[in-house]
Amino acid sequence: MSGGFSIRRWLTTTNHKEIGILYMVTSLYFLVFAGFLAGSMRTQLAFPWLGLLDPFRYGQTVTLHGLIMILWFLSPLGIAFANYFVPLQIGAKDLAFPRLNAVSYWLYLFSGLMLVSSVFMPGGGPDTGWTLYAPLATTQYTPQPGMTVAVLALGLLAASVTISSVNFITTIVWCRRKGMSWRVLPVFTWGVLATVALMLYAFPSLGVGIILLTADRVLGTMYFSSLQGGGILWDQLFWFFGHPEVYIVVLPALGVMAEVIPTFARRPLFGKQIWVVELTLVTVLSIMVWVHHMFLTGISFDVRETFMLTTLAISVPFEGVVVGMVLTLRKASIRITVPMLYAFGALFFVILGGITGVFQASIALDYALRGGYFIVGHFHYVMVGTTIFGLWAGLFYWFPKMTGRMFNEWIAKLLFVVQFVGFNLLYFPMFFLMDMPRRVSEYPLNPEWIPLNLLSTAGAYIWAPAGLLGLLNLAYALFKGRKSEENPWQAQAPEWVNLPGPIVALSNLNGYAEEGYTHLPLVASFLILLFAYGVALSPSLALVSLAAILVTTAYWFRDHIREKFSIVGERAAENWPFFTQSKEKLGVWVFLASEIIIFGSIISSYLYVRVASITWPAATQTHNLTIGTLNTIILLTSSLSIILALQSIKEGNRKGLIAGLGATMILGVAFLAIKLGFEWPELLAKGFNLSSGLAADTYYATTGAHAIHVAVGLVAVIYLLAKAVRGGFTVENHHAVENVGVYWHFVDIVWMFLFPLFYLI
Amino acid sequence: MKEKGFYVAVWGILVLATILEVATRSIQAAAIVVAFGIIIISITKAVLIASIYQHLWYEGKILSLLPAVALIALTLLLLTAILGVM
Amino acid sequence: MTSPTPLTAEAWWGLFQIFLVVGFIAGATVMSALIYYALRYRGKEGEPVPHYEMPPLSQRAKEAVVFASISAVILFGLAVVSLRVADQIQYPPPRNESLVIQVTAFQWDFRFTYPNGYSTLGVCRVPAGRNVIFNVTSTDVFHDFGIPDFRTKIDAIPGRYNLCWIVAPDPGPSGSVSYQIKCYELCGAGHPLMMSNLLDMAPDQYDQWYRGTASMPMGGP
Repeated sequence: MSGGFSIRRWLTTTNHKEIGILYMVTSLYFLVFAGFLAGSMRTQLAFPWLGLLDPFRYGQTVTLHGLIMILWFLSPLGIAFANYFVPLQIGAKDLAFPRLNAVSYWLYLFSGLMLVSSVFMPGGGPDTGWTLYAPLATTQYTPQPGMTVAVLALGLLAASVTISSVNFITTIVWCRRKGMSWRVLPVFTWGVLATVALMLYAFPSLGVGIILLTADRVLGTMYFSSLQGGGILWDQLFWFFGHPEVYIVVLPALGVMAEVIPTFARRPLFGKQIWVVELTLVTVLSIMVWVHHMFLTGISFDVRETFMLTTLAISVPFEGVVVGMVLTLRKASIRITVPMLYAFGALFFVILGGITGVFQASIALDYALRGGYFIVGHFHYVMVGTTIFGLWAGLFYWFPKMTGRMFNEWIAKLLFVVQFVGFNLLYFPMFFLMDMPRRVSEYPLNPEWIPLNLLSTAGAYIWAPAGLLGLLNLAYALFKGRKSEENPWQAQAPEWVNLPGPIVALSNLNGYAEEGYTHLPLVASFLILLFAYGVALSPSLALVSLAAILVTTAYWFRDHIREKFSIVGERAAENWPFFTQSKEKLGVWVFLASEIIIFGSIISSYLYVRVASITWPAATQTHNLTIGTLNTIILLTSSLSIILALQSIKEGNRKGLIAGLGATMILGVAFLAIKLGFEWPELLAKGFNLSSGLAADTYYATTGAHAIHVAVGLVAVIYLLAKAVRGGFTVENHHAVENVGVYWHFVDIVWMFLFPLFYLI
Repeated sequence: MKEKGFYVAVWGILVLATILEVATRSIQAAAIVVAFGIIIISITKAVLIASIYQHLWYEGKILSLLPAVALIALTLLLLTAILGVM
Repeated sequence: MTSPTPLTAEAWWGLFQIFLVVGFIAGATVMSALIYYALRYRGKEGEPVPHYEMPPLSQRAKEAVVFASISAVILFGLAVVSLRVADQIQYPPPRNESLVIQVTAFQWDFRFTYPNGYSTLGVCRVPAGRNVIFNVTSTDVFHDFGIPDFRTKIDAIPGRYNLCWIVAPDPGPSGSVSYQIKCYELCGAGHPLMMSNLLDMAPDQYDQWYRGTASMPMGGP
């Protein structure tokens, strides 16, 4: 296959630049769709008497607008640039796990389609707002299956994001070329690292919320319909994710701005190391502020006061990040190019947005601001103003690098001005509408709000077409633009300096060889999509697609099983301070960090509802202690057998390896057989089932999640056995055994806590 | 051989600790004290498995940072949620 | 708004103005620096990049610490005033000195139950000049009971009882003034129209009405 356009190429690629393009184009399509939704909302709000959108339609519109903009447009556009430019900046061949990168993309696309499909289902889609508050989101108040489909679409996206974060963290830590030390790492890559680190630690909490909400909706558990769990439990799980999420959205844009501004000021970023430290502080603090979304829920004042202080504290490093970029301009030699204009716009918006954010940190002010349009203005200034204008700076900045062409600068500058004016006209009036409730489609008793809403809508009608024209300008330049110089901006960053010429995905420049192109990521992602639909709508579909996923996984690893010896693994060139780990082991540990949060959140949900319950059945009455203890010892022994297996192959003892793996498999199967074949039937026969209350719900959900992890581990152990029996492991090459072992021990550790928490206490 | 014996010894400690946990349940003390004691034993078991079986003790200490940060974040979530409603 | 300004609202607006002034000064400072630098330090097209001696990292570090300290002091000040006003808003006066009204939010209206058991739908009558505590809950989903003119609201959560309180001002010569009550949390398709009225009555008129409720059937205007 030689160059030129080929659908097969785009469906089977694992190349980071091509995947970057896929993310970019897909995210822009979602922007247009969600932008159209926003336009209809603004029209409804400016002319509410026309009744264009009834409250149910409006609710679905605002929900989809929020979800798509935040999760399917803003973040993915940042990931698009990350995909394209992080490997170029750090001198890596590609991401650490290219096939998984493709899976991330396809899961992202399919999850978005799944979300949109929910609206067309009987009964409509989700209308609870993007925050999916409980108990509104339970089947009692939102019965339509479209809601379940939407929740699972969100779960698919969470999976896509988790895979991406493992991939990017491993890449940035492990795949840097020689000389690319942390000190020299470009700021955009730092921004991406901060983003994916937050993704790793924040998304699992959302994932657990989704799992439990799905269990509530599909299996009838009561996590969010009970009074003990209910709205506050969802609030905690959601906002623990939700606050870091807004930083996840804005950090890539800040990284882009920090590249663009020094380039066009022709000065280095003012105090780059300090800037990176401040960025890290913002990232770390963003995990510690989420309760400011819950200031009026009536939970303990001491807790709320603590979080008010942390929220005020995060302003300090954040302001340092902004001021660092402003100070870069001092005594500089600035050129006003299109990217620089957008970076200026983004700076303007982050100052305004950031300051209005400080208002929200005050508990006292929240008493009037909560649920009104002041906050809507605030977050649109940061999430839309800073993020979109920041990423647009990146779009124009890197356009010549990606395409080898230049766009019409005069049109782009003019459109920038129109967009800047339109944006402010759209969002600034919202600060004067603080008493107008959010998510209302009409306001019949307050006609005094109409002029401001009209003004805001006028801004939308100015901004949106200008934005669309701007994209069309770029699309035109893509095909008909004049050829650009190699480094038209005279930038100093590695992707410009070290790699002359356009690094183009859209031509044959890097060759389109057969290697690295595989249909497996697309197939696997599609089957996972079917599985998600199955969980929402049809158990048989879920089971069939699960079986197909297993088959695909086996096929994915068929080369690994067949080959007797593997090529000597890559050596990291710059990997301080992770000296002793291989790429795959690092990937496993990064993944386990997210698993800690997943299991931790599930266990925390159990502890939370238990503390909130006045009575709880005693463990001794409910659970069979003998079986529990037996299973605990079985699992411990399986950890022993797998580590002995590893030790054997390290000594060259192939028989010991097979014996150890075999024992692990038998013990794992025994664990599941005893639990599912004996213990659970006994419990169900006693009437301890999913309808009998939170004690049963939490038990089955938590130990069920654990059992699924054991089952997945068993699949991995079977793979190891298959390869070991064929002689695939040697003294030098046995890392898969170790890596699977690390996962297996983790699952064991989780049980070390589940056993006492459910059987003893 | 010596290494394998070490792993078996750790396994023995883990099994004994499990039995100890079960036994602690019967101790006559306030429920919260008993619960606390059991959790301490669980944490000890977890640390043993993590440092010996998962080799965290032998790897560069920096690798432990990944799970450690997760645990800190998790503790924050759990404490906030529980303290919030107490 | 021609209605007289309620008491807690004054404290709130005072705090808001403090934040506004501080925020404006901080924002204007950074923004003017941005605009000034952008205009002052324009480079000319084609001109070679002038030599620039980058200040040592220690200088940037010092500046960062100075900025951080100034911000920290300002933010700490804001925290202190916020907490003072928060105390006023969220800690109600003792119950035995107040009129306690149960507020039950549901899809999609508010029910108000007075101490004598009488309840009204969609209208809440309060006497001017007395502490009124609202004991707020929900019977179905998350709502929020908000009285924008009083600058106060509180979440209505099933299974929880949250408090907010007001002191209604003297309604003046008209004898009664009406304020809007709105729901500030999306609660389903009826959310936009989930509203009630707070009727601020002169104390003797309120007492007269309240005495009359003893003979009225449960639930009425």
